[in-house]
Amino acid sequence: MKELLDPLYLGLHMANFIVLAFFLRKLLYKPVKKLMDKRNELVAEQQKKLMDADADIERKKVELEASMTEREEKMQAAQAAAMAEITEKANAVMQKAHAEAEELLVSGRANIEREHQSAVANLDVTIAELAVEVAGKLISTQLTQEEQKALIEQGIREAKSFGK
Amino acid sequence: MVNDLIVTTAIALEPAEQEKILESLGETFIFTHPTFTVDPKILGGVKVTLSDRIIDCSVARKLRQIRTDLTKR
Repeated sequence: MKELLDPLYLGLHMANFIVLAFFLRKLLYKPVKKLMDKRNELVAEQQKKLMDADADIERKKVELEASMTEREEKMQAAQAAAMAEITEKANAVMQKAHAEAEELLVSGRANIEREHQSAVANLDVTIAELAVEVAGKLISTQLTQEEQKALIEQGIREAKSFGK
Repeated sequence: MVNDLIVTTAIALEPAEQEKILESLGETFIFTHPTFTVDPKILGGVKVTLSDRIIDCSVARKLRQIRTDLTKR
């Protein structure tokens, strides 16, 4: 115990501690600190890179969204144009079909009317011919001798009137 | 000018009836060589042919005329 309290010994210990502290600082603390600083720089750099990457991703995301929006607008515009064209064509086809149907209807009605008139005319002719034929048969079979002679006398009078 | 006369009827006529007809026609027409023929197709009345002139007063002609009139309408 006495030795420990010896000023020389104490001085040597202190000198030893100072030398140790000096070398520790020189050989251990500074390299470690340097290493730690370098690591911190590396981490900061990595963080900066990550932030840049995040920013880049965000920018690309915005660009992609804008591109998608533009494509969607273009697609909607194309769809609207196609729909308008289809509607226009469908309307044209409908109008044409309607006009053709109307034309057919008018033509059909005209044909029916012509057929009707023709049938009526044919019927008139048939009725007239039948009536005359029946009259001829009745006259040829039903007239008596006296009636025949009366007709002859009438015919002679008519013939004389033509000769005057 | 000589006119041949042909009188056509639907029934046969007695000579007296033929003579009466000739007398009647002689009042209007001048003719020679009268002939009477029978043609049931004329149905009734008389058809007088004087050389190239035909005066058709038969029932058949009148029916033909009626048919023509009816079918024209």
